[in-house]
Amino acid sequence: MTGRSRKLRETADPGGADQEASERPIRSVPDFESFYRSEYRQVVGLAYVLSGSRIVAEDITQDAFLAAHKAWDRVGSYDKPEAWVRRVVANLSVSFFRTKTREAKALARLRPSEAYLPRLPEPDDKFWKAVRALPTRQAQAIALHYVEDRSVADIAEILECSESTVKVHLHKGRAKLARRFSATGEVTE
Amino acid sequence: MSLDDRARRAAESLRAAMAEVTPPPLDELLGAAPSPWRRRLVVAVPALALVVAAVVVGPTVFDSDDPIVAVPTTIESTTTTTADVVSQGPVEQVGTSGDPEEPTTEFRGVAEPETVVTASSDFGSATTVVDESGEWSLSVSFPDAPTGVEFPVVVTVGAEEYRFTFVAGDKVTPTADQRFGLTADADPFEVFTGTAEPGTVITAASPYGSGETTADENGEWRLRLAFVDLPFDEPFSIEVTVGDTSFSFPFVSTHEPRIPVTVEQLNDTSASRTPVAGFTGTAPTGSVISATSDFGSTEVAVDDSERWTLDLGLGGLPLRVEVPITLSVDGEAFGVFGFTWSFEFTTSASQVNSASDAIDPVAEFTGTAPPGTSVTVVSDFGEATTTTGSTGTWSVTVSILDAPAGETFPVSVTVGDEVFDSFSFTWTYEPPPPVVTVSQTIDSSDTAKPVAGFAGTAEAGTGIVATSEFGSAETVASDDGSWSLSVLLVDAPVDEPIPITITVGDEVFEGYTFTWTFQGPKGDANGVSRDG
Repeated sequence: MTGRSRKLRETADPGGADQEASERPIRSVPDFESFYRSEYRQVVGLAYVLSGSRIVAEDITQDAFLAAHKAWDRVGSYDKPEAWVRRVVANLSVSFFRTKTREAKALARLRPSEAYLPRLPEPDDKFWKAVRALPTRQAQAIALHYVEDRSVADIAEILECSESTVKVHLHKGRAKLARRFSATGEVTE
Repeated sequence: MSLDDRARRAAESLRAAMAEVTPPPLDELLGAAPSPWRRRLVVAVPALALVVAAVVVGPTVFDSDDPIVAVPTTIESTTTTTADVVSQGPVEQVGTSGDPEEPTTEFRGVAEPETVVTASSDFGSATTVVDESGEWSLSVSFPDAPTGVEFPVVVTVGAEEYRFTFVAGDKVTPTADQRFGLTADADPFEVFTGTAEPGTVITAASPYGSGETTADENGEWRLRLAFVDLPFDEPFSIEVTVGDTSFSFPFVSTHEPRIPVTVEQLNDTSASRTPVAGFTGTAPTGSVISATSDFGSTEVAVDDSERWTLDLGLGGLPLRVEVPITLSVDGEAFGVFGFTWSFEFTTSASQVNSASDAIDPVAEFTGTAPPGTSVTVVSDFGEATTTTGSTGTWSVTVSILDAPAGETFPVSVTVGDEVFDSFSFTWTYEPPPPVVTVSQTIDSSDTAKPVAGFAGTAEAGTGIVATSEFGSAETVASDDGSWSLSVLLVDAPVDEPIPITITVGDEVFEGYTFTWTFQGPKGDANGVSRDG
């Protein structure tokens, strides 16, 4: 996809739509396909950690990219369109299992088992399962922190909250994980 | 291993898995060219020998924007229809009506005049007689024929017999539809529906459950297949057999089993002196369950069994008052449970020791009474007081002073308003026998009267004798074991050591000497001058 010139919003808010464009640098909308190919695998990993299902992780990821494509004129102009996609994935993962419609779509997209995310070794799968057991916001912050090495500022941008809130989520989430794994002797506090 | 190390290892594992994922082509993602995996799964199945099986791939129903609530997967087989009845020999079936409302068919042929021709079946028969032309035709109706079910029609021409088949309406083709394809339920099941000739047996088999049903008289069937021990996120196949036709369907469970957090209070009251509130339940491994109250707190980490038990010891509880205990899971309150201590206190006193041979004797008493009760122990030789603690027990130690050794004296214990006066105490102290000692208190003298002095200890009444060449003396050890002795040495030489032997009972002590250093005029021990 060929990009179009567009005014860049000053803030890094990837989801906002009402902010005024003013005297700011001009930047081109990046090519969607390049964006899609460069981000897909990372986003699938995040979706897997948050949803727990290798099958639906791809479904969530594809829906997120479809949504990004539909609004690419807007999303592509953001400083960090990848943050927007991750936020969509984080939100879709929360309610995934409650949505029969999405389950049906997941089956419709079912591919042979060798085509989707390979199964993780048991100890590693167990770790991400423990992450999913955390309260939603803590799980999202922890996933972004560990899966993608995201900074506190990045996580705050993706989750649309303050950096101090992210720090609290990370602190509480890490404390719970430490307690959970130290109880079984798997980590030392 | 630290948490960060553990997380890094899990993240590396995840990244390795992510690297194996291939993004679907963009045009497929955007729906321009539906990818094969967006279509329903197709499985070709061998058919009957006389049936031409055609596996039809249903058009995808997932490209619509309409909400989809279930995903049926259809595999249909087509077979020969009633219009394809085979003609045999001289008899020809010239027409059929598959209309279920008026199913009829017609046969014709050539035979000898007067020959009787009969067409018979379970659902209708007809007879005619061949006329002079030798040509005949026979129309048969099947008003009671079941729709879609093939049945035989036998045509008898004289002694010859010809067999045909007939189906009212369209012949029922074996089909199987899958209702869901996946489940997020804890009690997973799948539903299959389809068509088949009435009475056809339909079976469904999978590694996690199987079932069987029979097609009804309308040629329809429905089979609910329940699964046991279904694995999470592991697709598998279900083989459905409709008569001789088989179908394969995929299925997957998206239900990730998670042990629920449950709390059960084992006892909401205790009559024990040391009350303990017990709780048990389930929670994910690693969860920390804590119980807190104003009278004690504790916590436990859940192990791999995902079951936990917690005993909360409570101290200082008010009697017969329900107190709240808060149960929390990972710091978040789960619920508040009431607990009541109903212990019945009794008043009692018992003596730990009724005698002592220690040099500083003590008498010890213990007992029970309601918390806060005053306890006093009194005797002629000592007393002490205490107050019962929150557990309702007390203990008192009384120092016994100046008691006569070997005598038993009474001790009274008062617990609240109750007096226990049946106790007594005896000091059985026996002092050790004194050690025999001898020390010389005067070993020389310059006075006119030479007297040597000795002192020491011995058992009371022991005889002590001092002997020397110039005099001797004796005494007896006093009641306290001490003794002293002076020996006048008559005519002792001046400036010469005079040996003295001390005998204490049977023990002889030697080596003592006395020297008279008198410088005055010589005299005897009585002061008389020796020099005259």
